[in-house]
Amino acid sequence: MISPQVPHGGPEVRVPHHINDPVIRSERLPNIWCPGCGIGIVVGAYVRALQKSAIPRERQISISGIGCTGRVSGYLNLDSYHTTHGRAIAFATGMAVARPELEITVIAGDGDLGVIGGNHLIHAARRNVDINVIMVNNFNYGMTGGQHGGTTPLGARTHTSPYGNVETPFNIPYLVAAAGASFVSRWTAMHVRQLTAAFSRMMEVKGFAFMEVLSPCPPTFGEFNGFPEALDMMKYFRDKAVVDHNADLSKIAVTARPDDSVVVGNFVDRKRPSYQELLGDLRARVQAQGVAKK
Amino acid sequence: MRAQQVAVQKKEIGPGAITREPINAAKFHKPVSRVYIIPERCKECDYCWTFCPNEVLELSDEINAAGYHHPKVKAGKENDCVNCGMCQAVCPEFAIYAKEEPRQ
Repeated sequence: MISPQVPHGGPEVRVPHHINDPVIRSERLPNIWCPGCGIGIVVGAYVRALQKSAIPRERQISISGIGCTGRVSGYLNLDSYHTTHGRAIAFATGMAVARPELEITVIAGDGDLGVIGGNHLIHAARRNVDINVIMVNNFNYGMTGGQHGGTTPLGARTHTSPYGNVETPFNIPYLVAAAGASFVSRWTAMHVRQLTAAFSRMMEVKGFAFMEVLSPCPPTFGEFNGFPEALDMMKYFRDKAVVDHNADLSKIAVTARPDDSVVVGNFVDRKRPSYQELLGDLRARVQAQGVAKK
Repeated sequence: MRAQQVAVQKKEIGPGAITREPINAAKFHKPVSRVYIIPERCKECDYCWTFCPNEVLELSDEINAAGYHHPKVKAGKENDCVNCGMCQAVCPEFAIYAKEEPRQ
């Protein structure tokens, strides 16, 4: 028996195109995000989940709002929508009800989904609309220059809270789980493989599937809070993240201090009838009865 | 675990022990891969070469059009990339990936 010839590696090869380029609008790269921003990592993980998914790309939809993460739709080679501020979920709900066969994913930031669009978030979770929502949480309003917002941890310093934030932030997974979502998880930009696996699971879940992704924001958050470089925050996520799928959600608020741990995991995965299912049942029942006579 | 204990009792493990090779061992091999980069997209975030588990990558002395140093394969580490996909996954810019070299 002739043993197969062992191939040799070599120095790096320079190429014009990436293997993920069919799924992204590569002519728009390099992207507008700062060096070390975690949004690009989330897009990469989502692209790999898309490639693995059995759902054809014609039925995959991506919707985003305003802000740094709002730019995601512009880089995906899908039917993608860039909606008004905070209304990404409202837009997605309408689309999901009109065309239930579509697999709709909202990718937006914490300011967009959790603050200005906070009502849409909790009510979509309450109705259990069958959409996927990915919230990239960078703890501040990055695009407008680093103001503190509804997810800035207590005591964190930003441009508009130079002596420390005095507002208690949302504990987002706790909020969404309490509102009734079918799937709730939290990962960080460092957990690249878990992100892809969880995105694949979210595409299968019938009902509201939510994920909070903690992301480094080096120039407007990390710099003032003990993470001078983007790499420092990634190393913090690598060293201090605790995977606990059965964590008590009331105790997993993020403090974003270099010494405190971050709890991550797929916290909730339960079966609840989705809004589209209930609406379909209602439609079938009413159509079987016929129009009520006066 | 139980099989291992029995093997230790029968002195099959250790120096001069009788060992046997799995019958499908020939089917498995350590992948040898090549790193592909798109230097124009790099923003020098340092993630790929910091998080490469085999420490194959390092920062190049060259710069791209925007002034950022892009990664390169370390001298002497050309055969160490096993296509784990970490650099591709952690790159926010779609600027690096690895592909396994085909075996003849």
